Amino acid sequence: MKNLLAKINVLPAKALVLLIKIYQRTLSPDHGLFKAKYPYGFCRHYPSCSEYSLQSIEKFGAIKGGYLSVKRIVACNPFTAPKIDQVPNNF
Amino acid sequence: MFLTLYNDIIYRPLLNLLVYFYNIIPGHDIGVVIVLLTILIRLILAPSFHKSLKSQKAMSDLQPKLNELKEKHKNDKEGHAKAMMDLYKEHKINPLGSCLPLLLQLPILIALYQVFSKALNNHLAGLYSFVQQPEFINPKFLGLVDLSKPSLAFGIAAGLAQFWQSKMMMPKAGVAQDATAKAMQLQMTYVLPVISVIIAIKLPAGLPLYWIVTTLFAVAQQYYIIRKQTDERK
Repeated sequence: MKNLLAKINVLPAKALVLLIKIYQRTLSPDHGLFKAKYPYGFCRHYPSCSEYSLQSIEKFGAIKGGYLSVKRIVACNPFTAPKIDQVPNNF
Repeated sequence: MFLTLYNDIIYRPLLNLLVYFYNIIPGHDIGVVIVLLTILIRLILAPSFHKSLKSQKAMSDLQPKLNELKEKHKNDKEGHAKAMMDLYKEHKINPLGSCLPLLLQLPILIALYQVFSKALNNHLAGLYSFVQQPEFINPKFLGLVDLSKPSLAFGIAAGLAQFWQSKMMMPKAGVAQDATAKAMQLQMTYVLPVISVIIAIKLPAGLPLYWIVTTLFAVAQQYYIIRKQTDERK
C-alpha cells in the first residue's frame, strides 16, 4: 500500500517540478529573465519560494510537498518578517 | 475547481466591467475602454504603492552597505541572506518583495488580456443580467485603427515602450554586479523588446495597446519614484 502510494505520488511531483523550473527560467523575479531588476533579491525569505517549493516537492512528493509550498507562499507576504526558512528534514 | 474560481471571481467581473464601460462611454470606443480599464486595474493593483516607495527609498540609502554585504558573502548565499535580513531589521525596513501578492496579480493580468482578446472578437458569453449586451463591439479605435487586426505601428510602439521601461530600471553605475547579471540586464534591455515586437505585430492591435498602456503606467510609476528620491536628496 505504501509502495503504491509512493508511486502515485511521483508523477504529479515530476510535473510540478518541471512547471516550477520553467517558472524559474522565465517569469521568476529571483531566478528568471527579470532577475537584474532586483539586485538584492525579490522574495523576502531564503531560499526563495520557488526554490523552497522545488526542494520540498522533490523531497516529500506532490501532496506533502505541495502543502509545504502553499504554506510557504502564503507566509511570503508584507506582514511576515523575512527569515531563513529551509525545507524541514522530516514532515 | 480552479478554472471555475478563475472564471467567476476574475474573468467574468472584468468582462462585465469592460462591456459596462463600452456601453456608457460616449462614442463607444473599445480602444478608450481598453486604456481606461488597464489604468483602473493597475491602480487597484498598486495599493501598496506608497509603501513600496518608502521601502525603495530606504533601500537606495542602504545601497553601499548592501553592496558591501554582497561582496563579503559572495560564495555563501545563505549567509548573505541572513546578513541582509539583519540589516533590514536593524534599520526597520520592510523589504518590498513578497511572493503572495505577485502570485495573486498574475491571474488578474492574464484575465485582463483574455477579456480584451475575447471582446475584440465579440465573444461576450458570461454577461450579468444587469449589463446590457451591445449589438456589436466596434473594433475601431478613434475611428482610425481596427484593433481586432494586427498593426505594425502598435507592435513597434509596444516594443519601444518596453525598451524605455527597462532602460529606466537599469541599476545606476556603481551597483556591484557580476558578469551574468550584467548579461541578463543587456538581454532584458535589448533582446526582450525585439521579441515583444515580433509577437505583438501578429496579435490583434488591441492587445499591444493594452501592453503599451500597462508599460507606460509602470514607467510613470518609476519616474515618480526617481523624482521623489532626487528631491529628497537635495
